[in-house]
Amino acid sequence: MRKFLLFSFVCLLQVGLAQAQERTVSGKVTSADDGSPLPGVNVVVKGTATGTVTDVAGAYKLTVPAGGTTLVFSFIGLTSQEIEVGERTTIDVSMGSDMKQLNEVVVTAAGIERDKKSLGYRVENVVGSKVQQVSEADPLRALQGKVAGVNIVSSSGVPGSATRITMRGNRSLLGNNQPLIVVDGIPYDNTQTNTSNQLTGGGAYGSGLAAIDPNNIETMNILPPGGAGAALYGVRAANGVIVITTKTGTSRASRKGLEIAVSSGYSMEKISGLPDYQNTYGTGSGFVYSQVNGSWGAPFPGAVPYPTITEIPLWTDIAAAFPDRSPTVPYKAYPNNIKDFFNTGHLWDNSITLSGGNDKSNFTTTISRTDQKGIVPESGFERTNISIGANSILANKVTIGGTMSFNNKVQTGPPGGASNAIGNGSVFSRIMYLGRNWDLQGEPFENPLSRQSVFFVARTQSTNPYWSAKYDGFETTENRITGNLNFGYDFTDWLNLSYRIGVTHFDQTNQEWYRPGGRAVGGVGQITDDFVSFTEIESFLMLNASHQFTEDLSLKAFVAHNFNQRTRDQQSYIGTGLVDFSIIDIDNTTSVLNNGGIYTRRRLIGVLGEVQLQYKDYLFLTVNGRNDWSSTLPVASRSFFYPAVSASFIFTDALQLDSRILTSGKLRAGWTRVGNDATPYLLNTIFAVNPLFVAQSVLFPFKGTAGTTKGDVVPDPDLTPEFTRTIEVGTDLQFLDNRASLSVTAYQSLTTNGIAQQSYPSVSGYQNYLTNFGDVSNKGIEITVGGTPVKLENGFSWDINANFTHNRNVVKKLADGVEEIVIQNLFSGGITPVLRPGTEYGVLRGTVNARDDEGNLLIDPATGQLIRSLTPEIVGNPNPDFIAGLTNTFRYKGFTLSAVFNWRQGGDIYSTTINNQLGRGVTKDTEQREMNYVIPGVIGDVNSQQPVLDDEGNKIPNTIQVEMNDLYFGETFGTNSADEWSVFDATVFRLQEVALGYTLPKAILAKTPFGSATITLTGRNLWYKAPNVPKHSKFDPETSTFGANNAQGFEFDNVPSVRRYGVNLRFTF
Amino acid sequence: MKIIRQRIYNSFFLFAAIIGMSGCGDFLDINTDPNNPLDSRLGLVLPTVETVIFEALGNGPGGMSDLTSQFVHHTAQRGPSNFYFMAGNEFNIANAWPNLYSGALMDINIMISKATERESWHYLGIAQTLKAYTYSIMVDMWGKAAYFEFGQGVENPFPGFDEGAVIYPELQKLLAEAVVNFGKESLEAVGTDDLVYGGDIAKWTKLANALRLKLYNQVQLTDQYDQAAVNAIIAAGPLPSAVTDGFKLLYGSSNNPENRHPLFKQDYVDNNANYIDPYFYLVMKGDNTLPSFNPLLLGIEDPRIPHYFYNQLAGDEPQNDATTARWGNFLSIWFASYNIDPNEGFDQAQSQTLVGEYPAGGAYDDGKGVTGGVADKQNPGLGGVGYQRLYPLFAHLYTRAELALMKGASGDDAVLFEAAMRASFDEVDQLAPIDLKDSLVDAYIGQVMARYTPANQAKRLEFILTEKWIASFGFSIDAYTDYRRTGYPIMFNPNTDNNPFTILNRSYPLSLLYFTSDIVINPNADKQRDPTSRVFWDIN
Repeated sequence: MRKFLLFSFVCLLQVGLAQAQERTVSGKVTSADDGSPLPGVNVVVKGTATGTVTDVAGAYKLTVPAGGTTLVFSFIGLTSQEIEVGERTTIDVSMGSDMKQLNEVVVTAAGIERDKKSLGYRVENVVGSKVQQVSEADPLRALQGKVAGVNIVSSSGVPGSATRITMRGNRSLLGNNQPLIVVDGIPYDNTQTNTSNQLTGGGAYGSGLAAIDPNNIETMNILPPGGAGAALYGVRAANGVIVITTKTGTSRASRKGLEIAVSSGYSMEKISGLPDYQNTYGTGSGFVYSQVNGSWGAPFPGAVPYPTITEIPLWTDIAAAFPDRSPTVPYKAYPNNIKDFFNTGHLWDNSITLSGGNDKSNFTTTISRTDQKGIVPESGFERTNISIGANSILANKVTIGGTMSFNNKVQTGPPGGASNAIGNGSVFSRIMYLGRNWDLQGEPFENPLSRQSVFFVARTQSTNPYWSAKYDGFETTENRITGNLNFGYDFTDWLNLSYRIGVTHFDQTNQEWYRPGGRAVGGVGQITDDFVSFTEIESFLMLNASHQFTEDLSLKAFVAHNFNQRTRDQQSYIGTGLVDFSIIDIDNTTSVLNNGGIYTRRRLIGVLGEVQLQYKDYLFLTVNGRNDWSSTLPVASRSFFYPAVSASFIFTDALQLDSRILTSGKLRAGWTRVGNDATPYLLNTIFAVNPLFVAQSVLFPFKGTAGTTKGDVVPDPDLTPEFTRTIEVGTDLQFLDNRASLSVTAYQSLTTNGIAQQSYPSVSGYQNYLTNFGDVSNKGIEITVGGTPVKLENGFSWDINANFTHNRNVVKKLADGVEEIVIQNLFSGGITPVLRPGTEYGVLRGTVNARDDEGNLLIDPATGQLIRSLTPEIVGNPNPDFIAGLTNTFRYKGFTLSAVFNWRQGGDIYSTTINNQLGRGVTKDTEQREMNYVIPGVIGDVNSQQPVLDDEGNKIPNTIQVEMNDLYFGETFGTNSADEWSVFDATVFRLQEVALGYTLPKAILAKTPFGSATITLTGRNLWYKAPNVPKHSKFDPETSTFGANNAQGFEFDNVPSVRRYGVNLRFTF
Repeated sequence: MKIIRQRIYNSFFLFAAIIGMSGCGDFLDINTDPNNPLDSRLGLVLPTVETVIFEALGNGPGGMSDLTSQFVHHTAQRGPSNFYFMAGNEFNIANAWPNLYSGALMDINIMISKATERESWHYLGIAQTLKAYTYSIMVDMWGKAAYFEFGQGVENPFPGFDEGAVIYPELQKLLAEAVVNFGKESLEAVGTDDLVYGGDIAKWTKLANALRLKLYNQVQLTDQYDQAAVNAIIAAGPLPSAVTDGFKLLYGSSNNPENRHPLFKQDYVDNNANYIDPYFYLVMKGDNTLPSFNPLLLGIEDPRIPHYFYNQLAGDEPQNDATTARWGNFLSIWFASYNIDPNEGFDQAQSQTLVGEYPAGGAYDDGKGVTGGVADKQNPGLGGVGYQRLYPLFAHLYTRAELALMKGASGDDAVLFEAAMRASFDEVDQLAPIDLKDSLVDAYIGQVMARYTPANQAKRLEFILTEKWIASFGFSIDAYTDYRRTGYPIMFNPNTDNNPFTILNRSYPLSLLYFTSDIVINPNADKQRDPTSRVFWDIN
């Protein structure tokens, strides 16, 4: 009600002031840069509330009251001007850009543009060009290292694979922690749909955002969680918001009437971190050759000074498939057998943007195509976008606009999953640790008669990677249509109504296939189809007002209504037994079974409003609030309200500090509370029809008989929304005439009453209790430093931009008596991501070896190896200590050279690739093996797990020697070892991006049809160093088996990262 | 200005109208899952309960026999369990524990309340029998179980555990009630949804009675043993008398949906996890290769060997790997050789001997071996159509023999022992493509009985439990229980076999560990068990 009163007050005030009329002034406002007309500029009579805005042609007409002497022209992003009216009736003004970065314009909620200096919270505005022309098809990956406050992790080197982004840590115990993506005012579903468990199969699926073409991005506004602006986006904003405005969504008239911009890029990609392999020893054990996985066998001829074998029997599978082959092959190393498996990938990226129109109407249309082939044979990513946007101003003060876009995305990749998973057919089950004498390229991968995979070990162990890449895989096709319409109506120059309605719909089809003859699914072949259909409707009605009370005090306010409905329908089928080897179609299988389906629909209604008061030019106070009604919560608690308040103070203006050192300075502070609802259908316990049990040894129907089982989740009828409270303070400072800048933000947030499944012991009859519990806190600091150390008269300049992000994400408490909940179940008894009170989010719980009270490892006297502890412990923390990015940009005449350097400090990763490389003795890390080792520790008793004491009661230091083979194969540090030894510090330094661009001078272009032309050479991920992984593994720790999911810090035989070199062209005409 | 004001008011009305939708309850009342039922019926819950119990207790990945078969030396695997190590998050425990509690037992509770309400006495009796059986095995494995406070959800999310000695008498009561319920007229007939007996209530009655005897037999060293009750049950009956009376589940041949025997899938389709423990093989072979060998059946070769074990190798075919446990075509790894045996890293998928047709619905060993490994053949042998035998006829008869021998319960121990052996061989013949030759069976039984008859009580007990152990290949929990109760059969001692690849310095686990993940979140649960702590009936 308060807002309604406020509006009445505004209204009356307007009536009172509008009475005194004197004379009329008119004129035109143009851009100082290029003379183009500037629509929307505020023209106000100084000291009064009288004013107007310029029209599309930049023209204005204003009645100046008797006492008015000065007009103030202002526009966000441009330097305000005050001009004496005098006797003139025509005043034309040319306005230049405001160099003070504080005055950037940002889109906060719902298309509302606000002057950045008025905001009491941190907002980062990224112009589209920062993510374009950088040889990266994924807009999030292109952002890495460039912005503070974001944690971006790419999951694998498979084209189109998911990228996880979080801002200021995780808040939800088990739910989504990624920000809401809003494209042109409409939420954009960014779900990653995995048809199979990525631990045991499936592939490196992508998430929704990969459908967006970076070329069409005009700006990305990043609103970290807790910012007062984000709160207006409603329940999904608890994790922050990324507001993407596309070029088609902001279509504006071109200067030439019609402008065509073409950009075209080509890049090559290669595997970025190939380990240093040893080429001294072949497969076997104990320096004796045999046909096994581990390269612990006999040395190769010439590699050692003593005699060794020169030939070995032909491998069993190959001998069986080719009975005419010679029974022996030479025994030698194939140093490049791994390197040569990887292709050189390609990334083609083409985009054409057309924009045109006149002063009343304009349009922009973009068509683009991305075509990528990955380093793994047969992997690729294709994306086609067509979008069009138009705006028009009608005669009756109505503006109307809309966009329509169609995206098609096809991702093809190799089968994934951990190599040791039963029935897994991963292409990476051996490739990074092939036996050193395996002639992978020279030997066939297929039995010519049976078409079965042939390999150097049995097919029950692994499929040949070439076979697997060629015949097995997954493909995701997504067709997405997004459309939105918006209307605006200006009642007066201070009151405006706008309405936006948008629909996004996509159909996604995932298909996974294994042909018969590989390791997967018992070698019979299988096709899984998974159909997803998703529709989201978003409606947003807003009444927007502004008012100047006095010369010093003004107000901007709005109230709005929001409606959102999301419907998701998913159905999967699994067909087993391929009839024809070559056809990948579920009709071509011997039996088809339903494989689970999900239908959900949810609705949300929100009412929100905001009031921003401005005192002079330096003090801003913003209060906003939102009430939501959610269909997913019980009736009693479905309505909930959350407010936010923030303030911004430009102290340099207030104190009139006219210092050359401190050019401008701002202090800001904000407090917010954001609510969040549940996912649908959590309020009842259901019966599962034809259930899948944990081990899935047997599936229903069982010999034709169907079955049901009661669900394992107890619902809480009194479920309430969860809330996150955040306090944020910060400062933005500009120094030395804006040559240098510093922005610091500190925040603290606490999420309480999280909606999550509390693990119940199964002796309760259930597995989970879905309720409100747990507190999660995030504390952190975000720093951005910018500067221009060198700027010479001849045009040479050197810019530096550095950013630093630190966040500490702690699970403060769970429910009473609950010491742990599991984020995602992985291999039973193996490493698992968990939440425990007092620890950071998603720590890794895994098996460890027994130690004494002083931390000495206990040694099994029978073997000289370690003793497995009965109790698992926390063995790693995937959260980085900090992330820092540094961009250096050099400009000289038309040349631009920029380099982005990225540093992730800390965080842990569990890696099966490293584990296997050590355990199988393939890298140089284990090459020095012709000596024995003693594991430091004390002799222990395997039963009591206590140290054995000698007669005098002293511990007995271990002196038992073990071979290096046993050091990495056994109860030691590699294969068969406890999980703790496969967890590594994930610190990594990376040269993320280097770009050398040249823009042709206008003079040269004057006689050509081109308006501008730029050529850019780029390199991505050119160098990295992970100092705390085994030296020769060259392992890139920025990877994640589970993609964008909450389970982070796991690498189960992922496709390694890539390095890219590209050339990009961009020209307009 | 008036016009403007009017417009403002109009827009406020518009707002009010839209906001008014928020109050319109129906619009938001869409939170019921249209695709999953909130209730079910007895005939749909029973088949799930049965398959879960057989999976969780039987052999195959995630079944408790997968673990205990190594402890009783039926099979050997590469991994820490190879020397009696187990972790509380070990895969089988992690799978079986929640599937038994929040899966089968919870659904059984639902069945009990639904069947009581509907006076559906036969379903009630089945539910009670399954509950009693499942709890008895849980007590046998873990010593304690959550019984009295189990399954109350939010009312009591953190139940404490009850002593096995307190639970056992409750189970006797449940079984007695089940027998009574089976005798009642029930309107609702049990049909083919009963995957074990196809709704044959007479067989369920026999099972309930047999289980009562089984439980009494297992507590024979305690004061819970009740001779009068045992004799009354034997006298009243009915008791299992035919091989088809056994409590066993026959798996199917379909791989989609997966209906095959889990052990078949594990060892023929997936990853050949199981080796045959050489000790078990040699005992059946009647061989005396090792100093620590058990001489009880020395010189008597068991005709079941080709039904039990499938050799992939044929004709002394050479294979490349360093081999430490091979006799003819039989190839395996040693117990207690994990991380010691030089063949540790070797791929023996195409050469190791597999579990055969009898325990897994696998292949009969015709001595011809298989080129390229068994995984190259589609549906080798029975193709997974095999039994998981939790309490077959022979187990009942060996129990009767033991009761007669040790406690003087009704019946003659020698007669019962011989009948039990016959039932064991009959069990093999149920699915065998080639029946056991009667002459070989008679010869085997004759030789064993010739040694049994003159033996004293202790030796007779050893014969009964050794034969029971051999017969029960495929289901190893009862064998594990019997060994802990009686000390028979004699188990393999790796430290006295003069074998350099076998070393053991870990004690025998006298009970299993609780599922760690389940007890860490339950403040009222017991602390993790010490594997050397005993179950209440283990007071020998």
